[in-house]
Amino acid sequence: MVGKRFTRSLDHVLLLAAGMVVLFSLVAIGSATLEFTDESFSRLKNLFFAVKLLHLDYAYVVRQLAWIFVGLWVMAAIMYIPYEDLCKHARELYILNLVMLIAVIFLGREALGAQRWIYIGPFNFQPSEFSKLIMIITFASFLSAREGRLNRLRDLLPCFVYVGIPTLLILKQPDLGTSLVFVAIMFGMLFLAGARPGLLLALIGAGLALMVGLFVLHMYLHNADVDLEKQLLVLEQQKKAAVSETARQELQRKYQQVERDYREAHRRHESFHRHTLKEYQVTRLTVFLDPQSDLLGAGYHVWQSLIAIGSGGFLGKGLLGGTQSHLTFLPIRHTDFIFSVVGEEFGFMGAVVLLGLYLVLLYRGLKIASQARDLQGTLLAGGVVCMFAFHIFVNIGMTAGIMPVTGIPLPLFSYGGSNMIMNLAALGLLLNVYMRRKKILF
Amino acid sequence: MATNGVTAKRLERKLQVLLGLVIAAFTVLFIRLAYLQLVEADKYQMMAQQNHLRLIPIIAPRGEIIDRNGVRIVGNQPVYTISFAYLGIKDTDRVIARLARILVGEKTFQGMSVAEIEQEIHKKLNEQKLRLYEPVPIADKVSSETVSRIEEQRLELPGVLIDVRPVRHYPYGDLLVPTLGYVGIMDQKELEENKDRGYRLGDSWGKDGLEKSFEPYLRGQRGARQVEVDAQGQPVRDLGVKEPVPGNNLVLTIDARLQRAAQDALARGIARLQKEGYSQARAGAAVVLDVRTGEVLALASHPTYDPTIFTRDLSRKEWNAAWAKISRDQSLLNRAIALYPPGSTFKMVVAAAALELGKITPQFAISDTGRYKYKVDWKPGGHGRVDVVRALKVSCDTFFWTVGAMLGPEPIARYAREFGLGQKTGLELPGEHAGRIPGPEQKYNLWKPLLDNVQKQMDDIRKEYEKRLAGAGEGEKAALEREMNGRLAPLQDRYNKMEWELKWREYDTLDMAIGQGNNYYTPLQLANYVAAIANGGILYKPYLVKKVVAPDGQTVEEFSPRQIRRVNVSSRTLAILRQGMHEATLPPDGTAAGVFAGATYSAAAKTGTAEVHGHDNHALFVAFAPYEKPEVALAVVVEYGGHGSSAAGSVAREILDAYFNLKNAPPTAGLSGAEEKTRDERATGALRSTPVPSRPAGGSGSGNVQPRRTTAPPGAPPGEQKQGGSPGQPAGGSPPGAGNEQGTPVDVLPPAGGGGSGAPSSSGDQPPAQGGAPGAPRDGTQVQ
Repeated sequence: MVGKRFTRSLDHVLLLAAGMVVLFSLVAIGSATLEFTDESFSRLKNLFFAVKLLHLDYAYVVRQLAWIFVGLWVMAAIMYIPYEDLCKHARELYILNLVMLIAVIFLGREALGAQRWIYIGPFNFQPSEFSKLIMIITFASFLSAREGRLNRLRDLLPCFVYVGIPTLLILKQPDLGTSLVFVAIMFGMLFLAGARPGLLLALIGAGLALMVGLFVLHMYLHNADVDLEKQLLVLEQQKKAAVSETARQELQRKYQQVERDYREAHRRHESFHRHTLKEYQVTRLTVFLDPQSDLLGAGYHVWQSLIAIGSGGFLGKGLLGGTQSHLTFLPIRHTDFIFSVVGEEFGFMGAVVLLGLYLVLLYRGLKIASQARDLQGTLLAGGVVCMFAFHIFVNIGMTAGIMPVTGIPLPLFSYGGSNMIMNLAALGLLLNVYMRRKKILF
Repeated sequence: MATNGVTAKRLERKLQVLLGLVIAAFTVLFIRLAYLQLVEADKYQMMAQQNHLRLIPIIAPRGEIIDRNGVRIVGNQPVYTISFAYLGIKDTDRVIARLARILVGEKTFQGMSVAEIEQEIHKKLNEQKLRLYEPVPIADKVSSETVSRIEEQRLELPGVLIDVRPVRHYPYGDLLVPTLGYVGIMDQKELEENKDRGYRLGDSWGKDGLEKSFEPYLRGQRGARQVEVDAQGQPVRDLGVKEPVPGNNLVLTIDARLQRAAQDALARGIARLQKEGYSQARAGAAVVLDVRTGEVLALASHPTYDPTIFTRDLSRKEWNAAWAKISRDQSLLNRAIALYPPGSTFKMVVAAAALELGKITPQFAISDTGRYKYKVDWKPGGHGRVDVVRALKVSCDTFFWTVGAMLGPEPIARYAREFGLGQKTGLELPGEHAGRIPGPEQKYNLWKPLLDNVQKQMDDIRKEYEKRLAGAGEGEKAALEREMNGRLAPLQDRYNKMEWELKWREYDTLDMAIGQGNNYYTPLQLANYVAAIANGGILYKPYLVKKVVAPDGQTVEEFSPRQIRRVNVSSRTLAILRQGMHEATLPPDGTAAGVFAGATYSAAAKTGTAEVHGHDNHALFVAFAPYEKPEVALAVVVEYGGHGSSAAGSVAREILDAYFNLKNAPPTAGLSGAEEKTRDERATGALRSTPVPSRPAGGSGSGNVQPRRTTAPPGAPPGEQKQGGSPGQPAGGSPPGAGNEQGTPVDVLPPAGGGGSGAPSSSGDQPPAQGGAPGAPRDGTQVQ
């Protein structure tokens, strides 16, 4: 009766919460991808909930179910191998990770302005998703070997390099969101591994200060560039309208001087973008502060998402009742902006239920981390929790207009194979640690 | 190590910190969601509605204008507008590129390349980026080929919307222009003044003519369609439609065939005059009235304009050219209600006054030697023995000078007024003139301001020199005084002449008696006065609109003949006038004998030749027929046409011939291409009469037709009186208006049934419009 013992050894609360999230996600995906194109759809709104379920767009739901099926197998496989054995192969996994990420750069297909996918046969596969999980495993092994030797900045440097290499490779795709996930995981695991909290806080503070500093610097360079360009245009007009030859020459001198300044400012601005983020990336990251500044462009997604969530109100517009979703105002609503659909159709109640399920899941994850029989187990569980928490916060924050648009999916919820498999595998890792907790059942 | 209690405890603490962080993060999300979904839900719900609900106005077609026999003179035709709804970033560029390729060559984008059009569309889109939920108008009045190309590519053109709106359609070209008036977009001021009548920005309304005076009837009620649209602006479903209510149709007293004949006759007559060397003859008017009712059967003003310039989408250049032509021709001016000196057509008034007041008897006769005091008759040597009938027959000036001197100005003026001259007839058109009857007081009022002006100029000069003299040395004084006197002398001369003119003189009476001097009447008044003579003394109010009919055929309002008064002239006198006029058409020496040679009907007429200082004379002609049992009266004026009988008479003859020929002809005779289309149009007409709610209660009150012009300029400036006060003096040589643009298919509506109750229409429905300066087509014609 291995099966029964095996089943009994699982964290049922965690599994139940995760299962409910996934079920919820299937309904949301089935609703999100349904586009209303004529009169007949509007009648669906008044049907019973159960009947409405029959009218969902099952094309995506079925595919997602297939991924879940695959993911469950991966999850089971990961649960089966004791995590210590996984960690023993950290070096090989780390190399595999790097190979995968480098392969994306050379073999990857471009989509939505980034190279994130590798096509294997009919499937497209997103290495950066799996990279997160591998990172957690390899870093846990890396850190547990350094337990108690993480108090000084010098001690942390190897850790940064260790995480930094894959992070930079992902940043290169470019996938800022995922690289930030790496940073979050790293800090979370360092904290659990015993690095001095003050030191970590200082580092995070410094990182934030650097980001703000970069942003201010960018604003300065950007504005200088734009202002001088405007001045040039004005001077050009004045030059054309100049009445006397002397005035024209005077303006010409001034023009040349401004032109020199402008060239310099423009060059600096360009080089800033060459070395850091591109202009459009900066815009995308900051537009959430004021989506109305660019409603036709970068701000469109955030704005429509805010309208969707806000218009949901307390109880929501009901399944298949979301006008923002079904009349296609919401962009990419079955993946990154799936939460907007939840907010619109299920309202504040639905959103809170989903948040509650996630909270249970994270709480159970932390519980597992505390019950782990060794530091490695704690770090694995902690890393997974950090990853989930960061994803949830940034994704929902993004749809609610308080986080930049970084394009990271909602775990166990957004449509997408790689992500779903990775999330289920991460759950497997949690259960793996749980099954082998202090109170050994085997 | 797991057994190490301290480590475990420390780990526990760390995990609690992490849990705390997670809870904090979730709290932030919770608060944010609560704010969005509970506090600001209303705001976002409204925005979501703006996103997906669209209220599309449906513009109601204006009422049609139909002649007395059911011929549609003004109808409506659809015009298509292309607008575009924002698609989100991804598709917009692609769709705009495709749309630009289709729109190449459209009027809105004339002369632009595909790339330029693309840029233009992007610009328009960007201008409206804060109201994304509203479609952005891209191109107006696109051709039907473009519309069908867009329809074909519907699937590749998400977000592209086609709107239809009706515009005025003129099946018979310039028929009844400018009496019809035209429709244009309200300007800011008009909108401001009429907001409470439910007009909105971008609405059209009648700007002149019948379109203006019957605006409350013609105008329909806007409908609306609420549709749910997706992000591409494609309608997903109709949430409800409020059908527009078309405006009511006007059924005119006008006979389209006779109108056509009158316009053509005028045009031909003027062309003939041009050939004969009367290069100044370019304009004219003709009015035909039914003497038994006062119905206006034809109201022609020449030259006309192409009414479609107000409905087509003209380029700036085309518009300027069209507008230059209109300004030169003054063709917006309805010459049938503009002022002209009547010339000898006035003589019946004088004859009536003399007979009625007993100054002469029917037997009274003079022996005309061709002279009266210092005046010389138009016929050298005179007409011999002339009684009143013969005086009218040969248009003997000497007789009327004699009689005029016996009467004096006041009795003549009284009888002019009796016949409705010098008063607005109350025709339903804006800009009708009252005219002017001369008299001592009127003359004084005319000259006094001019005199004062000269006086003031002289005073100014004196003041100027007083100052200069005060500051000048002894030697210079004499020179200055000479200079001043030199400047004053011509002014003093003018002053003396004008002072003479302040008083009514004998020659004024003589001029007045033969219709010269300061007599100014509209062709409409002349026709109506002749009608009163013809019908035995009933002065009818001429009217253009027989009834107002709802789109379903129900009569909304019916206008029946209305008498202004019974003219206080005995039937005996009227009979003498009729006889005189009839004899004028008889050989050998009737002034209009040539005109009516070979006519199949008996007529009565009077020619008129009004002297115009420094120009060829205005040619006038009034007539009624048949003499024995009068049916129609008419007045024809040809500006600078030379002589009444030859220039205006031939036009009148053609019109009268047409009237009698058309009596038994089909309703569209003479209107090209009429027969073929008649049946289809009847069919559509039947389809159209789906029940539509009739006008809301209270909307059909007679008070609805009100003069809209509140700021009418006063009559012609007195300074122009020497020039004969023609309605403006067109400058520069130009051919008479281009021929009638016919050849358009003919529309005929079935005569609207029902109604005919004969209920007396409420009185006072046509408050007289105020006069306006002739020759000054009103501004506010900014249709573009």
